[in-house]
Amino acid sequence: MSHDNSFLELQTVRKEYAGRPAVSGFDLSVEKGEFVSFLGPSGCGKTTTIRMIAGYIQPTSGRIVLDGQDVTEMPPQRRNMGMVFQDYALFPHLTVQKNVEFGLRVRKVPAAKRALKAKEMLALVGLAESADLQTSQLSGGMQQRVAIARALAIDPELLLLDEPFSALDAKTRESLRQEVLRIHSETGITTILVTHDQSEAFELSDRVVLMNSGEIEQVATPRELYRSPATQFASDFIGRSVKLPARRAVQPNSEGIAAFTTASGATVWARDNARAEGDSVVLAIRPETLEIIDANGASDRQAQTNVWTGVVRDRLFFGPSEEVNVFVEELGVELPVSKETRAASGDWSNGQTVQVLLNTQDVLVIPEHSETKSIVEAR
Amino acid sequence: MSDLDTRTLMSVNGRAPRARRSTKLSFSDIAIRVVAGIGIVFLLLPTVISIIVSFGPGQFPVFPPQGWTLKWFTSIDPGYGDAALTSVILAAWTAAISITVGVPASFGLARWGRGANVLQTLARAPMQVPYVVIGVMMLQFFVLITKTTGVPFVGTMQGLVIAHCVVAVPYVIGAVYPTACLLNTSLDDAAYGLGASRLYTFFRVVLPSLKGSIVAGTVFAFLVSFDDVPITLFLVGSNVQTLPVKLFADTEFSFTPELFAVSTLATVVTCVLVLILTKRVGTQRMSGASS
Amino acid sequence: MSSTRDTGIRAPRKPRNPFRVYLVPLFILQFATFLVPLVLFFRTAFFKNEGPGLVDYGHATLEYLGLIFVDPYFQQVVLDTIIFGLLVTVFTLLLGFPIAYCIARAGRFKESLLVIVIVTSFTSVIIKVLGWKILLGASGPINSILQVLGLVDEPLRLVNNLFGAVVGTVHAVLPLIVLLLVPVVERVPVQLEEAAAGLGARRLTTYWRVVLPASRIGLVSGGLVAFAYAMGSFTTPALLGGKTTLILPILIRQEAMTTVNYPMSAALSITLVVIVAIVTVIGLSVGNSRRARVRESK
Repeated sequence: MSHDNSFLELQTVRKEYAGRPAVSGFDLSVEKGEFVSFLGPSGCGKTTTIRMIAGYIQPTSGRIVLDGQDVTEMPPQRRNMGMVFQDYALFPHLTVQKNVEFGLRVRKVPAAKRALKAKEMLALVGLAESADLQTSQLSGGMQQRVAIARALAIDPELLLLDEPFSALDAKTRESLRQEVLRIHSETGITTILVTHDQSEAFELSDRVVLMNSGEIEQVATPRELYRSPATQFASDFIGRSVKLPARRAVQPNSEGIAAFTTASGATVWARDNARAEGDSVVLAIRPETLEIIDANGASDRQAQTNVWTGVVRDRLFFGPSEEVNVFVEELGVELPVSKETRAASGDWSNGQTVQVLLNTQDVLVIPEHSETKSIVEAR
Repeated sequence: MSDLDTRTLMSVNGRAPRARRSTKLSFSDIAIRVVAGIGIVFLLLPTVISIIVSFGPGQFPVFPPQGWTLKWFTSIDPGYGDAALTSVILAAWTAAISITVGVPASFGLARWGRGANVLQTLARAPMQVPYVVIGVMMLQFFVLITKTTGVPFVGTMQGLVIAHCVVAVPYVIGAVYPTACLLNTSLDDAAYGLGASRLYTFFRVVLPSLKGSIVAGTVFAFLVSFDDVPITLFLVGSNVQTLPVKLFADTEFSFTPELFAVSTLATVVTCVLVLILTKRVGTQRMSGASS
Repeated sequence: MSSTRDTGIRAPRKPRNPFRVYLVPLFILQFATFLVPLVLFFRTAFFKNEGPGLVDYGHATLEYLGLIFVDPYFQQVVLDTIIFGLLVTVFTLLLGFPIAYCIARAGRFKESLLVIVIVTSFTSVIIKVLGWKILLGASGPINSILQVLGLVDEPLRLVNNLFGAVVGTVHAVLPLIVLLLVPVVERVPVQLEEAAAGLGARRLTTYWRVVLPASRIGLVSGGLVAFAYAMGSFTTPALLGGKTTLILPILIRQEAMTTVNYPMSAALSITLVVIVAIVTVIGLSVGNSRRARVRESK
């Protein structure tokens, strides 16, 4: 399972508590300089995993290899990883600068060099003037930046962030995300982020590890994860979609478009090569891929396109976007057609009959009882 | 409690009262303050009277005193001075040892996990035993040890220190353990991640966070030892006498102004110490000593 | 750019809970200087006293404990001790709770009042005793005022008896109890009192019908602390109680120091500790059942 340029490897890492697995069969390979996020709902095992990487928890089985060296049994003190905690964990009795210097002091770095490095790190996170303040005088966002500076001061091999922004308000979270992105590109340090916030994971990561109940659901780039969720859970957790159970009916044609029959008997065309005739799937439709078209334009379309007739039920205005809920009898569901708000938006009223268009590429085909895959690398 | 009156008015009238704020205190507010005042006076009265009496000129202490003099303060029997010194040294040793044993124990208890509460209660068991019983049992124990090993304990400083530590350590634990339970374990993890060993973390991260409780615990241990009579009574000797026990013995048989003078001095010192400490450490921590 | 990772050497498996070792000095100290002396001392109660300070460990007997149960002299002492304890407890609570209530609701004076109470709790017991001797003396201010007001013809004997002992001991334990009860009152939300006021109750009624019942559990705790303190109290009753107040702690000292009859002293000590333990257990279970009832009613 090891790749040539893998910097951090988790090999079949498993953690059990009283016989019940908190994390099972975790295999992951991280390249040097990569930014990887562990994403998932509470209790999915992401924090357990990052703490195993840091060394606070011992895996029940499996290995953790850093830069070719097995660190599975090593205590956290010797792993040289910089960890940032959800509650900042700044030492209250030390000033900001002394906090940042802490790791260097442990390593018996002389005072002058310590101070220099600490100032450098504080400048990196934009807090150079706060060096002599008490930690209690700082806002939450500033404290977290000090925590980052402190973690980086020891020149760690890995930067580990355990839900670092959960305790902060939305605005601070945004600005801190930018900071982390900037720091990552400036230092090039291999970074692992644990979060339950999908947009955060997408904005910051090169790759996302989606976890559920202790297992990896999918490992992919944000774009791949969004466009091609491999499992039911993935399609539920990532973004919004309407689900339609269906069966493969007609073979894919030369362009790879196959036909699926829904429970209500309607036909949906989708690009899919992997299914066999009669296979059960779940078709997922994302609101932003739907479009309401001119009734006349329908006739111009080719044969194997998805155009349905429906009745407008509702219009919801969110500010930057709006949604038109159209009930399509043929499918038996309400389709939320989402679009960005523009001055020249079409005007549809409740009860109006419209046509809804869905491109075949935009239909997500998900196996019905999809096994959780250990590695689905789609780069 | 003008808020109270305002709300009462609102619920009765159904509409907001006029904007004028009532600055007059209600009867019950005054009553509260009066009762609190009486209580405080009751608490302070005997001490204040004693202090005042110590300045009276008469051979027999009376209140109110018929004059004003410092003569009793200047002619204190040097025995009291020796006793006071002994008490201070004894209390200092007791405090030092109690802290050395009690602070790590409190931290260990806080991180013990299941059963910590039971253990903590056991550790504080000496507080539940009447001090007289502790005094007698230590006396008997020391006599036995001296008989078998020849090392003296009764009437020695070491014997007193040991006996005092028995009751002082629970006070230290009572002061430090609750705070230790509230420590943020993330701090420990942060220190470990930065390369600090467990011992380094204990001294550089945990102890500084416990500073207030440790100071409070030290003072509790010191004062428990400094003020003790029932235990010390059994363990003093011809060479070793403590201030409270000497005062006790002399008060049992006599009633002189000298007693008042010595007590006043000791009390003033103690009160100043406690006042300073309470200002620094906060009333919360200080009031936890009893329970 | 120093790396603290060493190469190839595996760290040993971490122990279950590394901080448990921090308790070793405490356990050693407690075992050697508390448990062992205590057990040895209590053991003495079951052996014959050969003479001052001499115990014949070859001769086991229950006579000392038996005496306590059978001899009217000792029965009286035990009874006096329990009565003393109850009196102190009752009056301490009677005085302490109103004071605690007033301090808790005193607003901006609360801190200063608490400081005064704390300082009082640390004040040496001797100076308090001396003060009471003056106050309660035959020629003291209280008697003088009573005589001036014509309420009595000759001075009341207020000191060197049970009255003096109770007053002194109540005064000594009061700061402790007040400090214990203030948080209890604070736990009763002010909103309850405001609701009562809104319903028309005056402050006194609210105090009696709302705050007091809500603080029952805390009062039980406070009462237990006061009782245990009183039962073990030595210095104050010894100095203010005169010859007539013979309670267990005083008798224990007498048997140990004057008569030097260790077995008797030990038997009396066992009795004292057992009484306090029984009352504590009863009190705690009463408190717990109340708590359970409160939880069920929610």
